[in-house]
Amino acid sequence: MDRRYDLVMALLTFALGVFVFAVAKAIPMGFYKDAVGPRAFFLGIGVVLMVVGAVVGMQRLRSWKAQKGHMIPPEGETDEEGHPVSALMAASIIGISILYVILLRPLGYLLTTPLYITGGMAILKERRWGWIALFAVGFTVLFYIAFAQILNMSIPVGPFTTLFRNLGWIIL
Amino acid sequence: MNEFVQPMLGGLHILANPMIWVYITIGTIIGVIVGALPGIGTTQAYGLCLPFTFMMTPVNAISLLMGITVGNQFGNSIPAILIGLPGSPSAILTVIEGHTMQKRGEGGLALGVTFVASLGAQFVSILFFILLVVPLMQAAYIFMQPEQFAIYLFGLVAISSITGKNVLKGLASAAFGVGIGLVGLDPVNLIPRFDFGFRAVRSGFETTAVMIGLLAVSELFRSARQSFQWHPATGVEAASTTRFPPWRKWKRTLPFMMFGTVVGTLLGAVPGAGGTAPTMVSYQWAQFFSKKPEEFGHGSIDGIAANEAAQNASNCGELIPTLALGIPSSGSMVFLLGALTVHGFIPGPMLIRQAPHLFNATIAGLLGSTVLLAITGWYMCSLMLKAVSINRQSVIIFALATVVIGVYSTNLKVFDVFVALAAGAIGYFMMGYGYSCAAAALGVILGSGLERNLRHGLNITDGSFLKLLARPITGITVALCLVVLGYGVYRQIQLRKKLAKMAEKTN
Repeated sequence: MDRRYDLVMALLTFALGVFVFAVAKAIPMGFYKDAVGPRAFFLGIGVVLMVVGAVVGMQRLRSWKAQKGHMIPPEGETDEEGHPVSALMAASIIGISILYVILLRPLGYLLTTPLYITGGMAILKERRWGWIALFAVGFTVLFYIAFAQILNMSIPVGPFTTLFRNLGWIIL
Repeated sequence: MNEFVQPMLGGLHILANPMIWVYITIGTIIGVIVGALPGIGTTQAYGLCLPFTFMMTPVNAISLLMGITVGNQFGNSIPAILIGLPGSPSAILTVIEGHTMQKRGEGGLALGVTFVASLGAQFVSILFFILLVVPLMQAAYIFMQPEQFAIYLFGLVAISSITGKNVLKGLASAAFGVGIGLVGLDPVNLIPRFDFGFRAVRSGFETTAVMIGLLAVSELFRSARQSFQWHPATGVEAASTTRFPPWRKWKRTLPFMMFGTVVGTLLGAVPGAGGTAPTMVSYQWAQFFSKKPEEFGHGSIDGIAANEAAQNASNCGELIPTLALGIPSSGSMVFLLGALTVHGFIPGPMLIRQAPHLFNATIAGLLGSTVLLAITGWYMCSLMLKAVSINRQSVIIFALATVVIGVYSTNLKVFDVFVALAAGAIGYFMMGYGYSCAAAALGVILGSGLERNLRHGLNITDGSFLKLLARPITGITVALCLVVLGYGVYRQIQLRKKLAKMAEKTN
């Protein structure tokens, strides 16, 4: 674990605490006054975050000169050994997931899902295109039938909306 | 005793009819499938089946609905272990323990313990349900908001077990989670808090979306950092792990299963306690009494046993106030109560006298689907275990795509999916730097209940904390919380010392 990033996380925790505390102070007390009030829990949370952020940050700074490199024993999850690590790959998956959700309404579930699965598998270095195609189409169709047709949920279908409405597959 | 024997015999008599098994089987299958899908709960399953039940006799309809209830609880845990995707908030601890084991190649053992704990607890809690339905009717009058606050507090104490390596960071994570859970309308004055003028968050964040984001999506994003093919860590062939685990491997979990069953049934019967608080309480105690407390949070079968037993037993517990008093303790119970009353079920103290055949049908449905799952459940588990052992890349993308559709289906809001992804991205960084996602998720779930019950409870006691704590059950439970917290901190310190010594020896 890189202590510089850990210090940044501690500072962010502290900043979040200050933010929560400041916003909580501005919450109106309301007409009915009760013993706790609408602010108390948030004020407490703000204090906890500030204290933890400050203490962890101080701990890191105090032991800064004691160690030579920036790497310290990990406190969080570590990567599995023997498999190459790429933060870019994770960032790409996060990016493509956000894009998928943005396009879900305009393009519809039936178009975006196969594209998302294909893109995601390609990012994760899966190269068996036949399997990818089968997985992408199979998953999309099965889940669409389960959620939209059997559970009667309103899943967006984008450009197919009029067609599906005419076919009686969607009512509204 | 007659109050126990008569309904039991009545239930068994209904089960003698082969046709009833058709309805129970359909209900159970629907329940398992729906339980395995994130974001889809029993409420939707009841909604799906209710129109069809109007064509059935009341006994058949109730058996089918009970089949859904039991199947749903069982189905909940399978994806929680296999792909780290909790079907409901009460499956959080199964994700923490079970999915860690799955990543170590011990998914078969985790599923085996889950299988035994779920069905064992379900079966025993049915017996409790019949035996205690009349006495526990009174629980609703005893457990008011102050008592419920104490139960929530007890649940929150469980966080001390899952803070991770750095207790301070665990505390910050829990505080962060509680804060997220409190966003929205103030429970007393209905003042919007932390919504910054956005209408979408005025009523708060969707708990399921945040929980799935913090626990499942963060883990999936984390897995997406690495390029790998699925290899069980033990080096054992994937096929062998689908065998039912031998008795010697899980016999030590039996006391935790029994304890979870009792806690789940009793706390589940408290209106408002839901299924999550009993699992937290049971898990916390299991860590105290476990011979291997260091395994908790890192794949503990004792933790899975306690959690699963409590989760499934709370199901029967929840039925007690719903059927006996007409007070549904959760959203799905509201739906179930509505469905049952449509079929002539009369909730209330007279239920056994006025509609005994419907009460017997409830028992038949619960018993029948438990027996059915006992026969077929392991086969379902092993099939799914084989399915996820094929290819890790596919599992990651499958889980992410399932999260998107599942979370969207909860309220049909794209915003909820963004919330899940945002929580996942935050969780990704939290995990890397020792901020416990599990503690944050627990905070999200328990925070709002804690505040609501404390403030409503104080209204009952004229705003006096002293009067609140002077209520016997509240006072005792809060005192117990402090003892448990103190003992928990002591155990954690001892555990850390032990682990440090072990690390020194290995170096």
